[in-house]
Amino acid sequence: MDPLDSRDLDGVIDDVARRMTGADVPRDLRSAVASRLASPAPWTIGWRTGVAAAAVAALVVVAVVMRPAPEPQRSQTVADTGGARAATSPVGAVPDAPQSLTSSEMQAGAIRRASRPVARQTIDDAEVAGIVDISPVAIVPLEGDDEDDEDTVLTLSHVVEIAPIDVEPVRINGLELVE
Amino acid sequence: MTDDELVRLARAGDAGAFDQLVVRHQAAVFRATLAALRVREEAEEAAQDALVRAWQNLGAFRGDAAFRTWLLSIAWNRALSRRRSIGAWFARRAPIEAADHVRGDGAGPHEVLRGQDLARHVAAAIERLSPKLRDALLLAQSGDYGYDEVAAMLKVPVGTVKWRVSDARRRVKQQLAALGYMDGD
Repeated sequence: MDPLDSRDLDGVIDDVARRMTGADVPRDLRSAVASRLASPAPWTIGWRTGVAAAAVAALVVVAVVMRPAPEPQRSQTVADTGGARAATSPVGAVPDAPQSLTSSEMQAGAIRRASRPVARQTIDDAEVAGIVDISPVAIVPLEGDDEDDEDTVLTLSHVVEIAPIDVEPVRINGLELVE
Repeated sequence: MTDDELVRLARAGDAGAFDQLVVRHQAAVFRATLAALRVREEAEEAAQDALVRAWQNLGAFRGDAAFRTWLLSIAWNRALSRRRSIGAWFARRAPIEAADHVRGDGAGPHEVLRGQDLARHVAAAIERLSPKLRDALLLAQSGDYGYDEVAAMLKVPVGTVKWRVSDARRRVKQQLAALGYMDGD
């Protein structure tokens, strides 16, 4: 066996490992540290500026979020909206809506309207040859199932008010297909 | 003046006292970062970062361990952070040329060349170790640190450090055996 191959491998491993970390200390390490301690690095200044800007932005956001909201006058607004809607709505979902409703009554009405199924209207005279028929779309509340909702209305009487949403029928006349 | 006394002065704002601490421990700090990073320039940057951070955090030094151990832990953490960065990772290369200086034990030119070959293979085998084993081996064999200091840097018990060093040697020898180098023991 070769003398070099048979020598103590542990000794060679230790020797190589020691040399892999045995470099001389850089001469300017001490002075570089001293100069860095004397003046903050530019990136440090940028970092601090960024943190300050972020802190200001966070304070602004917190101030906006925590600002007390103005006192809402919902009862009057909703009553007015309901009255106007009853007078002008072509759907006529609430034929005899009173001009002044209590909050719970308005809730019940809103929930009934929201839970009603809707039906699609079609226009029969749109069946013209050569013209593509696009069914007009209109959403009309179905009548007659209000009784089933009474329990729901009662149990959901604590729900936050939702203003009634007017749904008006939209008619789209047939579109002509150009060859 | 002891480290503790210098630390006390430095905490009071005495930059000269901290400079004395730097003079005392810069070699140990630099070699620790070199063991982690393997590139001299990277190690120097990490050593600077560690010493600056030590100055900035002197107030947090409670004296539970020796100042040198505390400083080496900071240095090792800074070096590991740098090692994890992608740029440093790709820039890293094995300083295998260091192995060229392994002596031939009075052998002739042919044997010297063979000895250098062996040293290169050993260095390459060490590079192929897992980071845990390689770090333990390089720190323990650097001659600069006791096992307790290596354990503090690696945040493992002393027994774990010893086991890792032993396992690292075994694995290096396995690689050398595959190349035809046999242990003389």
